[in-house]
Amino acid sequence: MKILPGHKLSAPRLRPGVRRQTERDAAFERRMLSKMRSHVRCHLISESGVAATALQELREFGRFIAALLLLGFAIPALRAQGNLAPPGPPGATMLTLSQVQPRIPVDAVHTPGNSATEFLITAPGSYYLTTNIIGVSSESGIEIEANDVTLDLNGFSMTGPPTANFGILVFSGYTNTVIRNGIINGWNSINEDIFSEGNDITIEDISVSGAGTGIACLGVGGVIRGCTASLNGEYGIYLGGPGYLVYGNTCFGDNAIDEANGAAILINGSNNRIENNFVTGSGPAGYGIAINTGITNSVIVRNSVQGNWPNDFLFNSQQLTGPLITNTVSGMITNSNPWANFAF
Amino acid sequence: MKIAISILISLAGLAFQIQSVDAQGSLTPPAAPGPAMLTLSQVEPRTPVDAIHTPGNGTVEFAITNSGSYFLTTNLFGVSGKGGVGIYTNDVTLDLNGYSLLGASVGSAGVTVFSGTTNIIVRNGLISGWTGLGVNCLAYNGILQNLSITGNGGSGVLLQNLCQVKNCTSSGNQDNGIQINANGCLISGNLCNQNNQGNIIDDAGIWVGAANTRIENNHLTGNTSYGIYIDVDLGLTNNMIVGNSVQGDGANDYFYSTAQIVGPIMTNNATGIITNSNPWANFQF
Repeated sequence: MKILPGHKLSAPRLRPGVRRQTERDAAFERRMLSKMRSHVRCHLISESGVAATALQELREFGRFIAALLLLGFAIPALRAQGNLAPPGPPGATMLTLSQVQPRIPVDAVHTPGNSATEFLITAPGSYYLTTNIIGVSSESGIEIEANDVTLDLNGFSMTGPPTANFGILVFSGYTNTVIRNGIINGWNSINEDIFSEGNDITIEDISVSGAGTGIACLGVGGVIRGCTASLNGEYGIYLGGPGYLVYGNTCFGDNAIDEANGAAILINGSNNRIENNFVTGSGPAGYGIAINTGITNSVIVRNSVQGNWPNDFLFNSQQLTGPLITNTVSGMITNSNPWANFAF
Repeated sequence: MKIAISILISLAGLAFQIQSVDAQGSLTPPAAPGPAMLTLSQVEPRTPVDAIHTPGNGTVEFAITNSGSYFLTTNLFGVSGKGGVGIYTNDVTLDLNGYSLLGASVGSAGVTVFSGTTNIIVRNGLISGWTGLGVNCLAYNGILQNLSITGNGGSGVLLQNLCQVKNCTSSGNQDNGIQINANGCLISGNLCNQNNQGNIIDDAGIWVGAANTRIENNHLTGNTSYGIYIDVDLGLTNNMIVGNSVQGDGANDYFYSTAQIVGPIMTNNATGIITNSNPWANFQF
């Protein structure tokens, strides 16, 4: 505390909450002040006042610093024009072409073939056709030698000459293949439009026609759904392995060469489910839906077959099959079994 | 001590604040530029239906004469005396892409798939207001799916050999909703409402002039004359009719002969509760 000439000295005031000095100190302080008032006209400072004042000033300094910092925090919010600093480095604002179409086109650049196939897929991924594919003699159209491949025909067609091999070939040992959305026809009168030895394959919304067999699956497990198999030489759909669901497909005019062992759908593996397929007009010498001897535990329900009577269905007692409903005199279905198959 | 702590905390706060006002960000490029190797035709490889890519002729406004995958890029409007899109070749997929083919009461047919073609798919759009048929599908193995075909001057759909109509709506057409002229067709999961606006005798929501069809799980209401009609005068056999529901034609909801295979017809009864458990039943009400 600075004492100016003529200033009336008084005992330091302590703020509420600050503990007062001891009475002894207070008495000493009063004596000192009295002495100062009577003898001293210069700047004097009480000894106890020095400590109190220093403490007070330190506290005030601390509050000042804190206030400054708080003001520093508050300043950005008070800047009227907003923050002039860029939020960060410029980021991408447009999609690249490969982001717009992230799938991989099937072509000579991205999926080059070899002596056995026009196009070869060797890495997992999502692939799509960008044009029709025309087959080459003694080669397949597309071969898949990788796991986890989706191939979207994108509405295009794959047309093979009779001297070609397979439309699409999935090699043995690979798993998780999806083939969908297109047209495949005429790859080879003794081979297949789609031939798979892979496991867990899904084939959906594909039209296959004009080959020896439309779709042949020999691996373990898969789904064939919403496909149309027509005018294939021997089989529309052939299952050579277990664990398939064949659902909601249409087969017409298959077994075109009219073999006695031909069929629209032939099952040569156990534990498959054949449901809600529409079969008509297969070669009359063969079958509509047939299961080979020795095959067990396939479920065959809710299918309708026309044109092969009395061989619309061929199965044995080792399967689980819905009852056959045939045309009756009245034409009215009286069998209320929901799993029935229809033959007419 | 308290003062020192207070100062330290304040200084730390100040340090954070200083860090947050690094204005320019990192000047290091994130990575080397990646390849952008797709062409636009790889991004959308299908062929648009327009005057450049599918120029028309004297019969149709747009003609598809090469196999491939086609799509609409906008609504298309009919012109007088011509059909909308004509498909003249095999192995064609036509995706309406959610757009409409609008006849504007002057165009003849919305889509014509000409005779002799095979493996044709038309899907995903609307076909409306043509003076003739909505879709005239004369193909072998034609597939129509997810189409809405309304208010046309003829039938909504006319089919020839071994065709399929799945998950479509055919409504308000002057003639039949779906007309089947040849064997082995599959008609599944469609809605046919208010067809036969022209009140033509013996026309129907679904009219069958063929054998060996499967007509399943369709819903029909308010079609004039008949709901599902099998032309028995043609001696047709083995049409399978199951799981359909027809309303609005009373005794004429279904018309067929005993040469077909038909689920029992369930009608509304006193309680309104379905008591027949036959899963192949058809409904009328």
